Amino acid sequence: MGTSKHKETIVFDKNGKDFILDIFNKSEDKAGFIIEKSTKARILTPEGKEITKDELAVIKKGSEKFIAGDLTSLMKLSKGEL
Amino acid sequence: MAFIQRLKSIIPTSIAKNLSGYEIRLDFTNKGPEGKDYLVNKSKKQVVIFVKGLTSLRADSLKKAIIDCFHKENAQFVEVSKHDLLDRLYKYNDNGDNQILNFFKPPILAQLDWEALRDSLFLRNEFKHHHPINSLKQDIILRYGERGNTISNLCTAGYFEETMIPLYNSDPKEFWTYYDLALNKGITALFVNHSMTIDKVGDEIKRRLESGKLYGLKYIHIHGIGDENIKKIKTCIEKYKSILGYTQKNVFFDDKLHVIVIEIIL
Repeated sequence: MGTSKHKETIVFDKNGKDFILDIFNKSEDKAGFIIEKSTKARILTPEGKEITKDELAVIKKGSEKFIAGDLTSLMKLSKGEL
Repeated sequence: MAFIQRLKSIIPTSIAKNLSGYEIRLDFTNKGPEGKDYLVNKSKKQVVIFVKGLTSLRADSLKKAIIDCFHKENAQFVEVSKHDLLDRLYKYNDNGDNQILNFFKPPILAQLDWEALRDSLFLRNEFKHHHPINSLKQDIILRYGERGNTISNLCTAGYFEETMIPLYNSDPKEFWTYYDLALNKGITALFVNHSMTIDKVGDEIKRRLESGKLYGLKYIHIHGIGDENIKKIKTCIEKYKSILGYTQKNVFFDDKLHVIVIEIIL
């Protein structure tokens, strides 16, 4: 994919978010925000914002980065800023 | 080891070894045709894995492959609706746009204005290539508010390179006066959208004419994209011409992109 630095992209559809989150020991709270299963704490994006399951678009290494699918987040991701 | 080679229980090694460079798509919505766990599409260079139909043993091996590939191979997982957009963002490298961004790089513009400009230049590029832009525009407004909307409108209409860079080069002080008028007061240009009635457009022209005279502007521009907005602008300009007493000229019209810009001279 383009000039990205990651080695491989794996694409999933939105119905797979629970499956993917479960793998990373995450789930969602009643308000739809992604949380750590163990602590129930809401996880933060690299920009320091809480993120809902609906907003989630990309999971990337760097410990674990959960990134929203809005234009600015994806722009920053593509520029290596996240 | 590539992701596909980690899926031995789903895709036989003899097949997986020929699928190097193929895109992997995890389908959680459909079951595979004839109960198949995966499908290879050679023309698209794509392998679809139908997760819904996997046995629990195979689903577990998929989970292990995902976590291994993530940690050991730096793989990235992308939701399908954002995949094409992200791909275009990775490839987006327009020389003209880069020059504009370099020119206005902070500290000239504030960081958030500059980020809004960067997103807006990409949106404009998408528009030029006939990609849908409505959700991108919404993203800019949600993130940067009405100020972001104005930056996006000014950017799409070419103000940053055609007006602001020459102005900054000739007189930075005059640039900042113009920039504040354009961004904070929004009077240098009117961007007509589908929700505006003809009377609303007329009111907005009147407000800009009054403010423009007050701040010494020589002209304002009326912009419209799409046949409906173009028709609305033309009707409005004629309707209010005698009431507000202005003269106007067409400065830009593109019938392929369906864009019009009319200059109202103060």
